[in-house]
Amino acid sequence: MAGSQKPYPRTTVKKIVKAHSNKSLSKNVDILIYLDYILFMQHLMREASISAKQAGEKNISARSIHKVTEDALRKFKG
Amino acid sequence: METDNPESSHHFPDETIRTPLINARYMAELIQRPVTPKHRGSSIGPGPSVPRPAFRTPTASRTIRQSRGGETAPLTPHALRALEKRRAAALTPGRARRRSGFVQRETPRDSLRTLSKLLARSTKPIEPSPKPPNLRTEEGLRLHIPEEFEKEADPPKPRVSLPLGEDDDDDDDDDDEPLPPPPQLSSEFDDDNYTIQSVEQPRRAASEQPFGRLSRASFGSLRLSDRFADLDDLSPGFGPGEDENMEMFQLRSEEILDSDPQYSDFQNMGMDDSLPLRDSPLGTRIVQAPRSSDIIPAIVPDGDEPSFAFELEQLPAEDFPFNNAEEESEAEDNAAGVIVPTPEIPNVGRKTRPIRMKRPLKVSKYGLEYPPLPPTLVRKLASTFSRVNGSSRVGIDKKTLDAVVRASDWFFEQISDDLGAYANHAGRKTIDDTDMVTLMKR
Repeated sequence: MAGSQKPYPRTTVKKIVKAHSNKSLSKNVDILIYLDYILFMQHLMREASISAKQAGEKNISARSIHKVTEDALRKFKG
Repeated sequence: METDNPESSHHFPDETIRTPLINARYMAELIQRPVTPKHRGSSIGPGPSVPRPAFRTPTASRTIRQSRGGETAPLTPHALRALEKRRAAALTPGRARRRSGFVQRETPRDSLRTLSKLLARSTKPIEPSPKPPNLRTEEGLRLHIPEEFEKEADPPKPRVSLPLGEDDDDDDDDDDEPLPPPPQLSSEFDDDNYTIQSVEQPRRAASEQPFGRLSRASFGSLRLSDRFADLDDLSPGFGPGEDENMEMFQLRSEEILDSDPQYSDFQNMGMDDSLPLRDSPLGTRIVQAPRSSDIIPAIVPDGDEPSFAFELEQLPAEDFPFNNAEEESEAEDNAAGVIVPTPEIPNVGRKTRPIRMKRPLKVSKYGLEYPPLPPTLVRKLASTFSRVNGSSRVGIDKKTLDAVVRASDWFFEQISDDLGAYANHAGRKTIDDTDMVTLMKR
């Protein structure tokens, strides 16, 4: 997607997780977390597009994403 | 040999092998058979003899017969047949009974239950959406409902309840509040003490929640399962960790007083459309005027749900400016700003981006600030993934992006919460790769 650009804001992800867990992160966990996040996004968007199709929408609407969010989050719950 | 099968069986072992043991057994059987019927016949009542009562009980006799038969049964076809019959009798009718019982268990109530389960999935939180303005927050309840609904909603309720009750109630109309009939009581409680009455609330006792969890209503602190069914109802009870609420209350009450009915509506708008608020209880929500204004233009253009769209256009005017003095002027500006870009969705996103930069850092439940995930990144991811999935060219409009951003916020909160729990459990202070591995394995 973005060749020269940095693939993702690593420090941001780190900060987010740090703030939520109140723990420090070991060296490369944030990458794993980000990968998991990508998986999550993939799953979310796939489900959302499916539900959007079912609802007969052209684009993915916010509503279809809302619908899917719960399940997706639950699926990615530890 | 000639007449009875049991006899033949008994003779058989004697003839082939005559060990003293077998002889003794044989004798014992011969002796007992004639004996037991006599005793049954003679003493049916509670017998004086010590050992026999045990034999006389049906279960005991059965077991004894079986055990005895177990020794001899393989030999005698009669006993075999009896055993088989008994087994068949024990097995087949048992199944039949179970089946019939199963059928009986399906009462209309159960079918209704299953139906409700099915419906619960397909129905959306849209249903509560008419209510939420009132239920959003405790403040909303206290400040809005009493003013608006005391005159409208309350009178009908007592009227409904009164005919059900007694004639005395009619006389006591003035005294309704001190001496309310039960239905009235409930209705009033719904309005005033929402937390007490709400069914969902007691699922997690406040005492059980760790401090950090109390303070924040979010997916991290609150499992999805808790709030699956009715999201909107939960939020008011949950969000207000009581420490925060005091501050919030003071902050909000000023704003609320200024614009009463609309404030609650606006909350719905800014926060979320159908989903419950996650950020609401937090201080960030109030501090971030710009953020909410950010959201609005996106929602207005889409306007899927008419109610929301309408409210948005009107509301920002009064609600955005949190400084009372500047309200009107800013309101006009905001309103104008919002309305103008509405037709062109992409432009709106670009215009509002600078505003998003202004938005202050969010605060986690531990009181740590953290930057939001850049929406551009989220948009990029979302568009790539949605494009892959076949819907040809997927434009992700602002509202959708907002939903996705919120979902990813929740995701991060949830995942970091879980990771922290894993690390805690392992007695570590840092989140490790292994935590992530365990999380992925689950």
